[in-house]
Amino acid sequence: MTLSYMPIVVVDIIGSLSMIIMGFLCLKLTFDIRAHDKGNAIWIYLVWVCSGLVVFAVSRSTGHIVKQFLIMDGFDEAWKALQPYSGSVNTLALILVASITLFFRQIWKIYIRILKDQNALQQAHEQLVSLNQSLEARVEKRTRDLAAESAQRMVLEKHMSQTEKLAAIGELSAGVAHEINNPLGVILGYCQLLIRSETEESERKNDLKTIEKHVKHCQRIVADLLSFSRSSGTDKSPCDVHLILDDVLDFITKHTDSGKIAVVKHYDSSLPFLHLNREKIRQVFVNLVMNARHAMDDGGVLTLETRRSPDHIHGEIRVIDNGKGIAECDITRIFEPFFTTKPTGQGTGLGLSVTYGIIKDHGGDIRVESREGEGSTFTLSLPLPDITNER
Amino acid sequence: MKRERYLRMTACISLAWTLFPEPLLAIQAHGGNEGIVVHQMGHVFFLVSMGAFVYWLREGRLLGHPGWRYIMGFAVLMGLWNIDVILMHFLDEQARLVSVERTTPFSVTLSGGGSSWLPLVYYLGKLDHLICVPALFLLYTGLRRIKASLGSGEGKGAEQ
Repeated sequence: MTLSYMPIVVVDIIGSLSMIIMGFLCLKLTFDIRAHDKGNAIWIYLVWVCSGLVVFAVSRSTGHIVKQFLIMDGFDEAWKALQPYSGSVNTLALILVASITLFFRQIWKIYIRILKDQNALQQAHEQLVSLNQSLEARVEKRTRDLAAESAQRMVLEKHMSQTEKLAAIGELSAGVAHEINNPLGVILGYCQLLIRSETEESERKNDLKTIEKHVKHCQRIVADLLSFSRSSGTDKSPCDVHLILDDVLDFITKHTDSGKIAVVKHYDSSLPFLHLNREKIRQVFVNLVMNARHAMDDGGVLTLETRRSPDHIHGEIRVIDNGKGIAECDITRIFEPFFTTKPTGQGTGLGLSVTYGIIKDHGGDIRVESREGEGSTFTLSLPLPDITNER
Repeated sequence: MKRERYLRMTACISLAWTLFPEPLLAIQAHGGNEGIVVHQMGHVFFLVSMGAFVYWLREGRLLGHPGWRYIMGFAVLMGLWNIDVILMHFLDEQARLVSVERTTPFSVTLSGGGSSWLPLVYYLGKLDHLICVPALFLLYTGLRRIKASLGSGEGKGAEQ
């Protein structure tokens, strides 16, 4: 069978050159791949395999090309001399590539183990981070709780101290009021007797009327002091605080200039009737609303709110203004008798003391929150009646 | 005394070996067909390694990635190439069943002991680069796909 020799030569030479080129191209690609993750065992393995292939391709292809050219040029003897060396190198290269290839299984196992370890490490790390975060959150929460507890304790201590102080002042006031009230009654009685014995045009009658006016003023102060000290008895009956509030608002609107003040009402319709002394509670509301009005000379919003306390034991009445507010140093003193920030002659300083006394007399409590320049909130807590008395 | 006796005995034995030499065959000679046998064993080893490589690729569930599928194609073609080359070496240098004669610079006459197909098989088998070059091309394509997937972040190729 006679066949063309050219296809064999052409395929051999071009194929050999292609082997070398492709081998180097593959090697370059493996280096590029390895550059993405230098520690990846599989990429390192591919670099080794391709390095082996390059050695194999170069050794084999060089031998083939040299062989073709030597034979074509008639140097058959030269090729015979070179052939054992070319063949040996080629055999070594073959074994090298095959040996490297056989490492795949081990490399793959190592790679999978590294991957598993990495995952485990990552999971452990994530768990640690999560634990750390949760610990931080717990510490933060506990710190917040402690701070809140501490603040609450401080408020309570302050409140108790104020209550004790006011109780002591109340006791003293009650003693003084009792001692003064009787002589004042006697003075007023004799004064009125003397007035009756005087003629209408008498100058002494005018003097006596002045004395009578001031004695009556003193009696009012004494009465206020007695209200503060809770020494006077109170007759209580179920009252609708909303009606009292509306009544007080009507009264103040009619008798004072409240044009610049807007009134907002947030009444809780489910609030039951409270056991109150209507007149005294009315006095409390008048004091608080008047104080709010004074705090908003330049206008503002007066908010009246009623609601049940979160524990459903008390009804709460809140009088909120956005007026001048109370200086922090004055807050602890506002319920003291005769304490006033108004100019001399414009207030006795008994309004809030009387309010305090009345609320305490009803078994309730009064709290104030205020920020200078932003306004004040007075919260009255009054005990809710039994459920049978609810409206 | 003892030392002198040992020295004398050693000298006598050495003299006897020098005077009456025998072939010892301590070092084996490597003539004959040993070269081709070693080379054929290398090809068999290469063939086995490619087979094992294909098996492990399938076992490792790597073939989900197109890059590794191309690499498996490379291994299969390299296995076929080894079979082809083993056969050619066998015909050429071991069985010597096909005789080749350059009749002209551009043609060869092949005869295969009365067989009509064997010279043709031999001729086609000699075109082994038609197998190994595509094999390397598949390897190159596979590596390119792996590199591309790494660049686009679609998958790492070597991740299960």
